[in-house]
Amino acid sequence: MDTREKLANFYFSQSALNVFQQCSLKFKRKYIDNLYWSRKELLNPEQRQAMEEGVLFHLLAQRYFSGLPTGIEDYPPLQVWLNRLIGFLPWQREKNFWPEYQLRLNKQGLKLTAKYDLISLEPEGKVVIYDWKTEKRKLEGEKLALSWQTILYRFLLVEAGEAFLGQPLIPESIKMVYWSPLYPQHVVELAYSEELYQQDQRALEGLIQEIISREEKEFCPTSQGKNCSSCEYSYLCQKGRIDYNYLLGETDLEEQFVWEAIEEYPY
Amino acid sequence: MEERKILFLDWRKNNHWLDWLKDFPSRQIFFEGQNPPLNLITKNRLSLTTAETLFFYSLPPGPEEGKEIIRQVEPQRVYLIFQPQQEFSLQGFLGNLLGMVKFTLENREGVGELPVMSSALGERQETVGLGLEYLSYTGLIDYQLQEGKKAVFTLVSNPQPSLLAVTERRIKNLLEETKAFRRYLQKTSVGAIKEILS
Repeated sequence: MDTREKLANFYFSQSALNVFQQCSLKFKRKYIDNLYWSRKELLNPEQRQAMEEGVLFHLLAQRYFSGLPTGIEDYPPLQVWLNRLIGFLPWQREKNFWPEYQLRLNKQGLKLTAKYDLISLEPEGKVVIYDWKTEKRKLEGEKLALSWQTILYRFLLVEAGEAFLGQPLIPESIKMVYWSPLYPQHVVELAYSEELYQQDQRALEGLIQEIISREEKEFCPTSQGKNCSSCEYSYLCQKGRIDYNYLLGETDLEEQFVWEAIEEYPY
Repeated sequence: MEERKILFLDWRKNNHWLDWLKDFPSRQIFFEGQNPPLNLITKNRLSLTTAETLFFYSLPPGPEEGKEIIRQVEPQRVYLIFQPQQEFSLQGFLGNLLGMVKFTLENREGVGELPVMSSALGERQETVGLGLEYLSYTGLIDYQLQEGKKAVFTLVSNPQPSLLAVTERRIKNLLEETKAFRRYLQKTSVGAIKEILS
């Protein structure tokens, strides 16, 4: 299967869109060449632990909102985080919680996919998308509002809403909430509107069209070197290196040139 | 007149460039310096002709040379490969230049063109001009310039040691300037390169 065929069958996730914007060559390696390499190798022990805690927290949240025993006794360090989550959004039998819910859309060639941490069906047809963040930095509302995750998650829910809910979903009924157990009081809530929905549609269609219309050779490495230091594929890329060591200091330079000893330089 | 738009594409970290080049039939590949790419027809600043696509395999020595290269090719797309290339030390540069003069005397009846010599060394013409001045001050060679770019070399002895130090400093500065320019091109954004070379 060539690149065009692969891309024609590709469902775009927020991760894939982010990767493409970071570096189109990384996108190719990851999603077209299927070189799934672990980033763990690049992480120091502290970062690795943070990543594992994040994965575990998502698992605990999934169990909690599924009405299952969380098994927190096996992960005592995460007890505080779980308590904060329960305080923030208590599970209630009468509420409709859909944790770790995946949606896929294939509409006139626009193929999208998202896995939501939690979708909550609220009274009066309102729908809230929850996303848990466990990075050690405070959530930035403006940044999140413009992120591909927000754009894709809300748009996809509107598009796939009818199949999901059995009735059309208007953008104004959707809200996206980012929450971190590290900063439980700092909640980022992003409302949706018809205008934003139209904007998001254009943005998604535009970027995806740009990706799928590319030839294989047009997936080029980023010029933003800062992205390379955290990229698992960085050592596959050609790194220009100049050996400056031969820049020697000269003394009595003219004495070093002896006509007879000079080799001809053909040109 | 409307300014022609040129698309600059970054292949500086593209390790497939050699394979991909085959897909560009109407192309010119700029190369000057040591270690030419194998199995590729390349052109220097004097032999480039118009083409749809221009590849900078090597780095131009300065902004003016870079702009001139683009003016000559009139490309629609410019691909930046910018392979790292040899950087001359002062001694290396002057030694090679002297070897070039020797070759000219032996094989070209002593008549050399400054642009051709500059291109062969991948350096700025100004640097080559100063290099020849320096070599003449050592008393190893002398030359006469015709129309500012044709040099007629002779083996005479008329050393001017008092001028060596200052000329050496000026050459060194120009060589450093070229190195700094090339290093900058290797790491700066495509947008910045476009600004410099357009």
